[in-house]
Amino acid sequence: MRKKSTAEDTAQPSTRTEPPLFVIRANERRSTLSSLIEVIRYREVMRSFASRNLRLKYKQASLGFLWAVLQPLAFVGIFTVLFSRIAHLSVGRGVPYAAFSMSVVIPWQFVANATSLASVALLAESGTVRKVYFPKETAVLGVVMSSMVDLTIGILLLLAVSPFLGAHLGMNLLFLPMLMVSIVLPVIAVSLPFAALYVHYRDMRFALPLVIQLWMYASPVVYPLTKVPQHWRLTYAFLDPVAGQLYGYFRVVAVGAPPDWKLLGASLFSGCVILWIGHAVFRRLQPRFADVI
Amino acid sequence: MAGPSDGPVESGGYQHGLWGAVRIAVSFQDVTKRYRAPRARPTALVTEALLALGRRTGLSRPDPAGSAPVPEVLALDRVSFDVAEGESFGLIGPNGAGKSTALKLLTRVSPLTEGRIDVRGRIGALLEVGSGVHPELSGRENIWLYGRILGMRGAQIRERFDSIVDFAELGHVLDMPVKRYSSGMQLRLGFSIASHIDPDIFVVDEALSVGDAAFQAKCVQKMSQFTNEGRTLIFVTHQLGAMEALCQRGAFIVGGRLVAQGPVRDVLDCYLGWVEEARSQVRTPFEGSTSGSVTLLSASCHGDDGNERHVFGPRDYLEIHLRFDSPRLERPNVAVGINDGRPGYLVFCSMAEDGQVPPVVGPGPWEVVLRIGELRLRPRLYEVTCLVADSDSRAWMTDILVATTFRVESTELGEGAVALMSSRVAGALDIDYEWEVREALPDGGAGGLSITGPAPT
Repeated sequence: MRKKSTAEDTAQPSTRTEPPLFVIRANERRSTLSSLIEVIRYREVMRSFASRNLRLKYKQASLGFLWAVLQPLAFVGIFTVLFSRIAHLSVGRGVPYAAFSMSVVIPWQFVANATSLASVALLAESGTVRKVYFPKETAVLGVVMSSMVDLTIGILLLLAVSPFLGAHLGMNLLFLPMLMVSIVLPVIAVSLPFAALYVHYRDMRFALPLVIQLWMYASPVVYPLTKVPQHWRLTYAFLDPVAGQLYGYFRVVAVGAPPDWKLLGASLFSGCVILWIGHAVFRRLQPRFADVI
Repeated sequence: MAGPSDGPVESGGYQHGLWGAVRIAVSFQDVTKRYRAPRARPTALVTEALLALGRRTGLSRPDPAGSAPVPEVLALDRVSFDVAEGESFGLIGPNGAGKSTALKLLTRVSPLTEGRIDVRGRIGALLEVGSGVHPELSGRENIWLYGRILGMRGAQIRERFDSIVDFAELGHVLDMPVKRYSSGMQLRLGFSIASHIDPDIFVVDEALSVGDAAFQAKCVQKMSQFTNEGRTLIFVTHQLGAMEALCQRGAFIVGGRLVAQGPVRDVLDCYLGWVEEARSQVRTPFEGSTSGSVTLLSASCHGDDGNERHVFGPRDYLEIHLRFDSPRLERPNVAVGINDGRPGYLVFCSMAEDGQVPPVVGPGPWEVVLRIGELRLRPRLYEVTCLVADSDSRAWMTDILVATTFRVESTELGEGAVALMSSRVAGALDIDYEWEVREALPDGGAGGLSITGPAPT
């Protein structure tokens, strides 16, 4: 008691500055901009969520971070056997199927894992949501951030393994960081509305795996984008917000060419549109999270 | 604990709240909260989303009472009250009255349906037991995560980390996942984090009910320290004595409506009146004795004239009448404890300890009268707890329950600020004592103790 009082004496009323007035109104709807500002203000919280998720994710798994390596390798193996050996799908440009598969499975795994984890982020955080105020976006973004560590591990694996699978690597690898950032956009865009809907409708538990599975077959993951007729490719990239990025990975890490900027731009554009809509859904459902969860 | 230098600090705290320039810290203005009942058909999602989109873009007109009204639960109904800066404010009411809802709205956890709340200052809140704790994380990680969420910067958390751990007394389990903590330990952690974020407004909901006695006392002390520092305290508890001891003003809520607000004693009076009325309507006030063997039928306090009373003077005569119903019992030990809402009994009278256990009672109703010659208690509200045990096995045969309450009021001090202050600061016991101030003995006179500082005048 006594020894603490020296520190606390400094917090006497006389020295306290007048705090600003804050008004809590009914039916408050946040604008996109004010949400963004608040998320930036709470960036430390987001980082805490991210590092927390990272620790929790592999806490009770005995193989730990090795899973970030094993998962994509297993998928590449399966796809190579199925589509190359059995279905005799060829990628062209002198790139073996395994090298193509490796280059797109790793970013796709990030999309699939991050989306499914981020979509349950609010539910996983239900205790916090019920007790403390914080911008709910941070929980979703925190999960996406922590998944980026897996992506980084995957990319390192990709760089280590691809040469042995017959990929052509070169100076174009400098585009890789840009591709890593651009694949995050569609994940956030889709995760925000999914996470919000998950709080209100537990149907998402059944719908989500299905959606992600369908999304994979709709995206150039098991087949290269070059299989799509030339005049459809731009439309395709507009409709699928990850198509341009995945094709970019294929070109940079397997073919050894720069990304197709037009297709990448189209996918990023549609990613932005989805983000705007998705965040609108999120903002609409956000106020009642604590009541419903 | 309380050194002489605490005196001016404490009175400073009160002045700030009562007579200083009063600024409003929290103001509820016609606040209404309705919870939507869960939707019957999940398909409504699509319809609702489309309709909402239509309304926003102006494509569809607001449906003219078309869709069936959404069933709603009214949790708060046009509640208004102000809490001044530096004031401690208690919310009281039965379970489900809306107290916790009010705090959730104040802390922005849940949105208001109508009205507005003005808040001046940073809020530190403990809304549920273990709020501010994540089960999978260790205590250490929790302090960091919730410190961040509650708005502390990294340097601040580092600086206060030890003091948070010290206050919670959890240094030995700091790296254990919180899911292995007991609920009391979770409460300690949550309270400690919330109270260390340097809040201007400290909001506590029912925290005292879980902690052990020592920690409850510590919480009460921390909260009164907050108010003494000119911070605002908003507080929900069912421990009336703690409420009266800690709070200056309060509000009484039933069924989402604010029934009374004002000085905490008036509010408690109103609440107790309501409880008594509710009890008299129910007619079976004390149900459920654990073993079913002894039932407390009624409990009442009486004055020297034998009439039932609720208010007594500090030195009055008090009789507590207890009526029981039981099968035939041999050597039942009846015990009565009196407390002022803070942990622990001030007085505990037990037949077994006094060697006055009756040889046999029952079957049927029987009555016990406890006569207290002189109360010697200071003004405030007291709770009377009643227990019946088997003298030999020492097993309780009733639930430990507050049987009745009585209030001690002083006629000497009268109403007003002085009485209020004395009831908040003073201890409960009214013992006889006297003061003497005299000149100190010269150096060496006090049995070999040498004083090096300047002699006190």
